[in-house]
Amino acid sequence: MKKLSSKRYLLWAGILVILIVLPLLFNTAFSHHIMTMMCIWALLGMGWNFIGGYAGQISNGHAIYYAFGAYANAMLLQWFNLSPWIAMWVGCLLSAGIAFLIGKGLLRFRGHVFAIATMAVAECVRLIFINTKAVGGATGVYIFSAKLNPILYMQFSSTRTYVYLYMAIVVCVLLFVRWLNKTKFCYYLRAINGNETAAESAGINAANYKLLAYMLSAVIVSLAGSLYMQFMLYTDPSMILTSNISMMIVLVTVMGGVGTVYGPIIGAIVLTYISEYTRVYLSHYNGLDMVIYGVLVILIVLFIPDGLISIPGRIKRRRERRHTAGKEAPAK
Amino acid sequence: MSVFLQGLYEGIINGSILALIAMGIALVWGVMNILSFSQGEFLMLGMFVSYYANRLLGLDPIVAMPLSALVLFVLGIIIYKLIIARALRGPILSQRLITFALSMVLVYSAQLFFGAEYKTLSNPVKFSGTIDLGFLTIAKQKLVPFLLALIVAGLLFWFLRYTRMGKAIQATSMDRYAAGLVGINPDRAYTISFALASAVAGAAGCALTYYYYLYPNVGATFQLWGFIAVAMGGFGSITGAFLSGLLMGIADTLTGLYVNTAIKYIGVCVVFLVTVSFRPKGIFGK
Repeated sequence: MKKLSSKRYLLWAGILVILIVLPLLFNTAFSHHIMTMMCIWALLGMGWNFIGGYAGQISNGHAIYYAFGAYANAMLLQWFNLSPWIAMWVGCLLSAGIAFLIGKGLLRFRGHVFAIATMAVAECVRLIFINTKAVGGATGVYIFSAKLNPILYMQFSSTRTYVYLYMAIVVCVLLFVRWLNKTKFCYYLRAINGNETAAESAGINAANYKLLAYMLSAVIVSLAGSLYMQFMLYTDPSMILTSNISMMIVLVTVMGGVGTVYGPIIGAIVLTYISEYTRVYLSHYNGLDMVIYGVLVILIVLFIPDGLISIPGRIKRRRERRHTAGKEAPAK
Repeated sequence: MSVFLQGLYEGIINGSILALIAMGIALVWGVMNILSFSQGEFLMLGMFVSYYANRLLGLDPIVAMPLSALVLFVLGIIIYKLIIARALRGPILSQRLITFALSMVLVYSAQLFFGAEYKTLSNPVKFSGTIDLGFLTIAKQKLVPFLLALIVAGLLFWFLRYTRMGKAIQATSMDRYAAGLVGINPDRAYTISFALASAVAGAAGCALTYYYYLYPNVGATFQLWGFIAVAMGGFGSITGAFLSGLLMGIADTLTGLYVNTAIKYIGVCVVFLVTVSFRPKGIFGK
């Protein structure tokens, strides 16, 4: 790895300071809620990015793993009194196993059919959760208990603790993604995305790598689900297992920038900000918040199809073009 | 036996609505390669047109049907011109997300303007009653979706096969640039097919109001089953979408009847996944 130049070093230090200061500066429960949700959506986006962004297989059913992560925490606590610190890794393993089975079956489909198949499976899982009494059925599960040790059972009384913890987890996952981004694994996935047949003829086992990417994305999404559960302390299938959630996971990534390292984080920040603020200020007009949200999403996706992360590059390119045009002008 | 026949009949009726939705999705998919998430919402809007025509003008849904189809045709043109035409320049993924966001806008606009509560037709429907065949009881109003599905399928087939515009649409779906070279306006062909798809959903919505309640989010379920029907029927094949829509309705009702209503949708999904595993391009795909 090349050494960080002092300028980049300063940039990272600055971001770190901002991350530490922000929850102190905006010290209300609502802003902490927004920051926590941003972290969770950033994880969801980064997870989905592996299969949808790098490998180019657009899954529209990732809410399954979100739910498995959340329910793993809740049920292991209820059944075995297991601490979430352990349960979330059990949830990740479970999700990886489920993703292996589903991926084996579905990953041979391409394009729209893969998307529809993942949606169908997600719908089946939703119906199973709703009709299973053991996991709370349609009423869901509630895990708050004042008797539990807050640190051991990740039920903090201060929302700021959640923000710092989740930010730390996002930074860890981000470092992991940054590292992975430069490995062979991600280059193989990009090759498969570019042209699967060509990638296979170059000796890449496309089926295996797609399955691996699918499992990896399921694990990260499941982690996000566990964190969501610990923050909300309540969940039910209509909260986290709808096709809307699956689509929003895609949306976060696409808005930020598909197949980029920082795109999902930027998408999560912008999207959460829009959705939370429209909800708070407009929701008393029965649905107006979602209309505004939808319109904003349409506008952003329509006019910035490569994601928000492409904006600096665009501006730079435009300025260069203007610059060269300006040089040529006197010659006329 | 009588129970089975009754179940089969109800299944065909439910399947007709799915078939109508699926035909619209197949048209948009086949012609411009977009997985349209807003098709179910056009159905919902058709239901609202029918509901208000009934409440304010006292019209029977079957009379309101042309009106609903017309309203949605115009809405389809507007949406295409405003949003879809621009989205087509972007990547496939953002096209899909734009139709998803559009469906969200439509659902919540309906909630904003018409309210979120469940509604049924308030004025009495003239076209009602039952025909008792002894082994089968046919509710007259439930015949409407089935007949409509048959008529619309026939009309769409005729339109695409024998009219100039229809042939232009088919040519555009095969190769947009080649169609442009021989003097077809691809943009116009796209507009017409998008608007037609939404008009079909609007008519289906009218038929559905006879026996189904309406609320802003009613389209979501039909939407997913429509997708499945199209994927099962085969890539953009309208006939395939029609037939597999009927098939799914039957599978759905019969599993509900004989196995368990809670898992009837799972039955449909399993049928779909098994079918696509053996025939990845769908039953009628080439």
